[in-house]
Amino acid sequence: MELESIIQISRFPEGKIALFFRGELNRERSARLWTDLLYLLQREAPSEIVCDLQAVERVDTAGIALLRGFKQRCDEQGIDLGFVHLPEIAQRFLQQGQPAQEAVSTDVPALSWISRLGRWGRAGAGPAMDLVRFLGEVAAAGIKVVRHPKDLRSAEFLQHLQEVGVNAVLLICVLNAMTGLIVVFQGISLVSDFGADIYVADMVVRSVAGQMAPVLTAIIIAGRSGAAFAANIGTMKIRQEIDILSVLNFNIPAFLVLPRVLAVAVATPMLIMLADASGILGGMITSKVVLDIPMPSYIAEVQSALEPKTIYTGLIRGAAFGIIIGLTGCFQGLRTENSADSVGVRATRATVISIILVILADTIFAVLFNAFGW
Amino acid sequence: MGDREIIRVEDLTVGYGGTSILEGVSFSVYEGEIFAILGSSGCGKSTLFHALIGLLPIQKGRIIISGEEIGPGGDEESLSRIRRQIGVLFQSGALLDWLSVGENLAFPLRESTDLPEEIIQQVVQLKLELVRLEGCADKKPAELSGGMTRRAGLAAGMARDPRILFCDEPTFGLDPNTAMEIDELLVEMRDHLNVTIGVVTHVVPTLENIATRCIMLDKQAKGIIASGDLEDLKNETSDSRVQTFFQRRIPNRRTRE
Repeated sequence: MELESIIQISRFPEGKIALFFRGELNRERSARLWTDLLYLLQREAPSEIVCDLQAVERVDTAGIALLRGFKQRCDEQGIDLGFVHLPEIAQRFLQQGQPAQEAVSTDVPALSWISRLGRWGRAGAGPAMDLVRFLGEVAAAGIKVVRHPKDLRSAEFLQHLQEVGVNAVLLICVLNAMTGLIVVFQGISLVSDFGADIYVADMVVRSVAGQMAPVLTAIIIAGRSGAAFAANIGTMKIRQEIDILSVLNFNIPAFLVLPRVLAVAVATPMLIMLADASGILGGMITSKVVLDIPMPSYIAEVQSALEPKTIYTGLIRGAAFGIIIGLTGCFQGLRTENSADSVGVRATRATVISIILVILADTIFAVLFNAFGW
Repeated sequence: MGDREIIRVEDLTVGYGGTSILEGVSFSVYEGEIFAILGSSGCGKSTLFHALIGLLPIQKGRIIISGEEIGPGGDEESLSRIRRQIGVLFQSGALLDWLSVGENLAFPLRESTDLPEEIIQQVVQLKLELVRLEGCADKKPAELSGGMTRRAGLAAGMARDPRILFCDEPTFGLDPNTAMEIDELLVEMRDHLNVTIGVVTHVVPTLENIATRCIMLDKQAKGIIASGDLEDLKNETSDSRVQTFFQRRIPNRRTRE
């Protein structure tokens, strides 16, 4: 086997050899050199090796790694390996006799089960305590506003009302009108067989206005405004704007949270009413086009099917959903850590948690309204 | 520099969660000083800064600012009174990005004083002139350069004419010329507006330009390892950490011929 031309070998008595390296000891040559060096170890079976690097022009990290690997291999085989004229950068990694740097211990001392339980409890209790404190502060700010309505930051409230409410009207109306359309199409097969086409109006009222519109609207608001609250407040936190407001003695719950929560609590019931109307309208147009149901007949059927309780339970649920979405978005925003990534995480979490809580609350409302006969 | 103590920190322990970052820190700041808190990254400068401005709860000890005391558990009233006397310049400038630069200055005045709008606008103009941002009142913070943001932040921090201005890394990340402008502004504020300034920094040229007295923090020591005039610290020979901070040189560095 021919050795790589940059190594020359000199043999001495008692199994000693000297290896002379020259040129560049780099990434391109390291693979071939490694094979050569291992072959040499096998062929020569030396007792001692001296590597002379005087003629080496340049060494890169692959070259240093090669030398270090060779040293390790020699150590394993009990061969005494030494380097002379080692380039300065290689000396740092190959210095003979240099004690290894004291490794930083990453061992975590073993904890008793009670300590582990305590740590687990404390880790879990932190966010829970933060939530309790947050709710308490918002409640205190809310009570203050009830007592002194002038303390409400009306400009911010109106601005958020516009963003959460007015700017969402088109989206809510279109999506709920389409829901009305879907319900009519789904209902055709059921009612047509009995020649009772007009009852699609009852289906629209019961399913869209009674159930789907509030939940669908809340989900849209959670995705649209809950996430926006979290991202907005989170960005303010990262940009230290919340710190500066605190230093300026602003009450953060009163200044940032309450206007948002109130805006979404007011906007959501209103949007639900619009959603109800859009769903019914969507159903009416579809009924006219597909089933040729006259509009006055459809409206008369809607009037008979639509009970006042459908309206007020929708309003109650809407306000509750709004408060849930607002508080969740703001809480997640305030928990943002100091990284851009955290803003995205909190915005996503705000949406997901809001939707889960909205559906949970809707379930509770369904049970309660049923229990009270509403 | 006056003889009147305006900030006193006694045996202060602060940290996050159950972990302490600084333990048993004590020092005083006198009226009219530009007092610097310095040290390497992770030594607790920002932790101390946040404790001084009341954004981080105190675990042990106390901070007294202009006779008002904050300690473990916190006293909201006392903290509120302290905050009325301080201004803050954060590293990011911390301007409210939905407001214009002028509004950022006017906003705290509208909220915390009963000054008429005309006077507020005058104050805004004056503060912008002070930081040489006369034409920027209507600009949004996003339209400003890094140095301009820092200057606008400085003006916002000074909006309520605080007795003490705290600055977190006021020149960090700025080019030398812009950093020099900020240094000059801080000295001007101290000289002309009689404000005491507390600066957290690890930028040595800024320290040399502005600091009248310093404390140096260290991560391992969890506290102060040196204090005094800047020259005292620079001439400190007994502590290698202090030496390294001021004489950042690679040993035996070769120069390319």
